Amino acid sequence: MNAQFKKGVLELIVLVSVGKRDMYGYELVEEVSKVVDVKEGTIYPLLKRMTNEHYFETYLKESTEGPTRKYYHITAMGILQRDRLVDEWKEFQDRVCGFLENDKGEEK
Amino acid sequence: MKKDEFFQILRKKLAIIEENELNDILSEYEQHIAMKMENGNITEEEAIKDFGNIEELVAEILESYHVKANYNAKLKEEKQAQLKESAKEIGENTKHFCGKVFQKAKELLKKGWDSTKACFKNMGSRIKRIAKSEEEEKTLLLGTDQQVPDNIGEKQGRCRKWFSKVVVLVQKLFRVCLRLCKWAIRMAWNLCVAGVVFFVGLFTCLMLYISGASIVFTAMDYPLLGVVFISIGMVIFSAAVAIAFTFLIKKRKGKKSILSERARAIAKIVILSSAVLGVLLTGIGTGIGVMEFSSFTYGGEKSLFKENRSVRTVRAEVPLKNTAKIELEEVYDGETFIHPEVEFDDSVPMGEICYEVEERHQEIEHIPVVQMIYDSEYDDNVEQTKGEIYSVYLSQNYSESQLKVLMTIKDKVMKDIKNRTVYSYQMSDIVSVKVLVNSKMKPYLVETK
Repeated sequence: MNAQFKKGVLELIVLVSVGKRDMYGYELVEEVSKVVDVKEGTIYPLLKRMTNEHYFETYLKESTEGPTRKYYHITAMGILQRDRLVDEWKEFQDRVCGFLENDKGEEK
Repeated sequence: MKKDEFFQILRKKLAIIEENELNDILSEYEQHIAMKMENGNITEEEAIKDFGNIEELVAEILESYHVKANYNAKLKEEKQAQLKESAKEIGENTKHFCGKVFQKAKELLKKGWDSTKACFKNMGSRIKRIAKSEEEEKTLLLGTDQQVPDNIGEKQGRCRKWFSKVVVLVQKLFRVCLRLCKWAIRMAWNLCVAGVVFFVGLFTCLMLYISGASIVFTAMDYPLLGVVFISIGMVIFSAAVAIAFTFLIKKRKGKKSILSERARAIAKIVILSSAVLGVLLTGIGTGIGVMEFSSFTYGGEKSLFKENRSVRTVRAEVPLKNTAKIELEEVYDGETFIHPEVEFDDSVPMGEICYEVEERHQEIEHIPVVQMIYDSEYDDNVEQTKGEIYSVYLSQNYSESQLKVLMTIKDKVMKDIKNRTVYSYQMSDIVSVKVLVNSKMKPYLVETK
């Protein structure tokens, strides 16, 4: 997939994923990878940035196996941002789809 | 890429991030890698590979902190631009051209020195690292391969350790030697400079003495104005040189000089201008000196003791023998040989020789010496062996020191210098010598030419 497409939509997917339930890094990477093929090198810095921008907050939680995990939890600001992005995405998608349909009609 | 290397690179490149925060990020990554290895059943290298290009990763992490990823590179560029600008300045600033070129050369030398130092350091650390990594590999091998007997591996490991220890030791020794060399060179240089300063200072003192003396003499109307100028010029010049040399004394790198940069610059200007002034004064002095010298005239010969002439009689007794002759030697007064004129006077008793010496001063005691010599080859012209000869001459003995002579002539000589006339002074003590002998002694005398 086009790297530029991925980059644009990644923040949205991460926000929606964490919005469903709190997740730790590895889990999130797995989750996102179901939708788009991403590298860890993209997800972790993104998580860092969004935490710095107060969309997420983090907490540590003991796990039954292995070391303590760092969980990401969405904040109110994150929810607002998520909703805004979802709206934007829908509008964007409609327009792009409409444009593509239009293009097809003209061709015929 | 191994995990250690991966984290090492990240740590280096993300050094700008606070330690706690960085540890937080890295621990999360570490956890991720571990999980991935476990769940996906893949190797460490593969797990790390999924992080993608490390440069991009670093850039993105930095971006999340709103830090420019290429900050360091930009810094370098700016530095280079600055260097270029300063180089341009040199071209423009012809006034301080020499100084700056000198400084630049110093900088370059320093840079070269630093880089060679760094090179050596790098080499040492690389050797160490190689030794270390090989050691690690050895232990890893040992972990997987149970067949290898433990003590061999241990031995090899110990060898590596020793090797790296020796390398470190050599490095340290080298560094100590280097420091010692630097110290020795600096000491030698400082000693040389101190020696030059000492001798130039001594010369300055001498010149100061001469200038003081010549100022007094000039005030007393002696033609020594040129010497005054020359000596003062030399004093200023040599003092400037001595002080300039003290600037060449090398201090230790850390030690600050007592003078501020500004004061040093002012001192340099003062020293340079005083040196120029000194040379100028010396030149003027030389000119005046030559003028003064050309005003001198030569007054011919001058006898200094004309007024004090007196005649003294000195007697010498000689034995009279038929077989021996008597020879009257020339009289030497320290400057010239005076031939004695023989006169016959019967009032002088037989066997006695009477010298009448006309003298300029009476500080001399004349002692007649009669010596019996046997000379078979005497007088080649006559080709005759003369047999025994009594040789008679006057030896001189200064009854007093020549101080009195000096004291009598000093005023005259000084006066002549003041009048700018120079004479060749006649210092001879004896004017003439007359020898009186009884006429009956004539056959005993050797004929003189």
